[in-house]
This record gives sequence, structure tokens and C-alpha cells, in this order.
Amino acid sequence: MLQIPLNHYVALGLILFAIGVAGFVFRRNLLITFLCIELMLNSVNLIFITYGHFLKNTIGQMYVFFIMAVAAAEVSIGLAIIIMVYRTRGTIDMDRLTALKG
Amino acid sequence: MNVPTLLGYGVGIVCIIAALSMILQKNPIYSGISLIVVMLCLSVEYLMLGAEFLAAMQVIVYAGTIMVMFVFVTVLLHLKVVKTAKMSWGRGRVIGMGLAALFGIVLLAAVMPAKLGSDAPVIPDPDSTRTVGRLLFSDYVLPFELVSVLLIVAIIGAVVLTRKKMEAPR
Repeated sequence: MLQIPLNHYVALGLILFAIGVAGFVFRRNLLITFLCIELMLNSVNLIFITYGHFLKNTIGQMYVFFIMAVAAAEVSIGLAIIIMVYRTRGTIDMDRLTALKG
Repeated sequence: MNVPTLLGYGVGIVCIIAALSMILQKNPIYSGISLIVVMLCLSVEYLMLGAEFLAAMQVIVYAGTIMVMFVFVTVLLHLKVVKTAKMSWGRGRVIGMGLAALFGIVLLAAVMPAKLGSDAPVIPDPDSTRTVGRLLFSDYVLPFELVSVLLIVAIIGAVVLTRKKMEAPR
């Protein structure tokens, strides 16, 4: 019988979210930035399912179902954009993608 | 403190180590593989929380489809990319990592003391897949149909975006 309290699951979700934020802000590679977005989405999924379990309501799982579907759509478009950026600019290093700089 | 609980904590620790590995690796393929490990560990966590359908969906959709797409695109862009991916540990980056750690600590401090009523162990619903299926087609049928529209839009968008330029119309 599992005896992990609610706080520990939410703590894991928050640590993963903070790691995702750190990676999102500090990596120069566009692909790794995108991976960190997925990590943040996954950590939020864990928090949703945790509260759904401890409040005995299936609504947590419904939210996660739709977040997963939206994330799949978003990843396909995001990867298409990254491929286009690579095709037109030749690099996916964010420090060199300065075309919009004022 | 029995064996399933210890395994649960172990899976959580593996998850955090894999996430740290993901943001600290130089090679983007290793980052992708680390994120696959994170997603599989999260799938185990969903199983512990009684969400069997979502654990299967996590493996099939996230680890099996999305991450494979990522690794494919990384391989397509790989040869030129690895040369430019240098993690420079200047002063700004160290201060920034410290701020990110502070952000995480503040969030944890806000959440850890909170309690949710009783401490009795919660028995998960043994029929959660059936409940999810029933809710999908009764209460949540509108978002369900909208998700299908969203997926068609995403397919069309991805195809249009990666099309090569046609020659100019006369």
C-alpha cells in the first residue's frame, strides 16, 4: 500500500517545473528550449493527476487527456517551425537568431 | 515505509536526475533521451496514482510519438548543431541558475506545509479507465470533438509550413 502523501507528489511536480523553467531560459539551442516546454507541461500533468487522485475526482485525468492532445499538436507545429528556421537561417542557436532585434 | 513506497520515491529521484541531465547535456540527442526517461518515470507515477489509462497514453503519445519526433528532427538538424551547442558557464549563467533554484525553493515552501484534510490513504478508483471513457463521451464530448478539429488543423499547418516554395504563378 503506497503511503506517499500529496505534498511529495506536488513537490516532484514543482521541482520538474523549476528545472524546465531553468532550462528554457538558459539553453541556447532551440530544440532544447522546446524540450523544456514539454517538461513543464508534463510536470503540470503530474500535479493535475495528483489532485484528481486525492480529491477522488476524475476531472484531473480529463484535463491531462486534453493537455496531452494539445501538446501533441503543438509539438508538431513547433518542430515544423524549427525546421523552417533552420532552412532559412542555417542555425538554431538562439544567440544568432537576431533578425527581430531592434 | 514499505517497498512500493520506497520504489515510488526512487522513481521520483530518477525523474529529477533525468530532468537535470536533460538541461545540462551538450548533445541534444542525449537531452531527448533524458526526457524520454522522465516521461517513463512520470508514467510510473501516474500508475501509482491510479490513472492507468493516462499512464498508457503517456507512453504511447508522449514517449512513443512526441519524443520520437523530437529525436528525428534532432537527427535531421544534428550535424551542424552539435558544433555550436556550447554551454558556457559565465557569471550570468551561474546567477541565473541560482535564481531558478530560488524560484523552485519558493514554490516548494509554499506547497509543502499545505495539508489536504485527512491523512488516510486514498484507494484509487479501480475502474478509472471506464470512468474516463464515460466522461469523455458525456460531460466532455465538446472538448473531445474540438480536439479532433485541433489535430486536423495541426496536420495541415505542419504540412503547409514545411512545404518547399513553389515557383511563382505567372
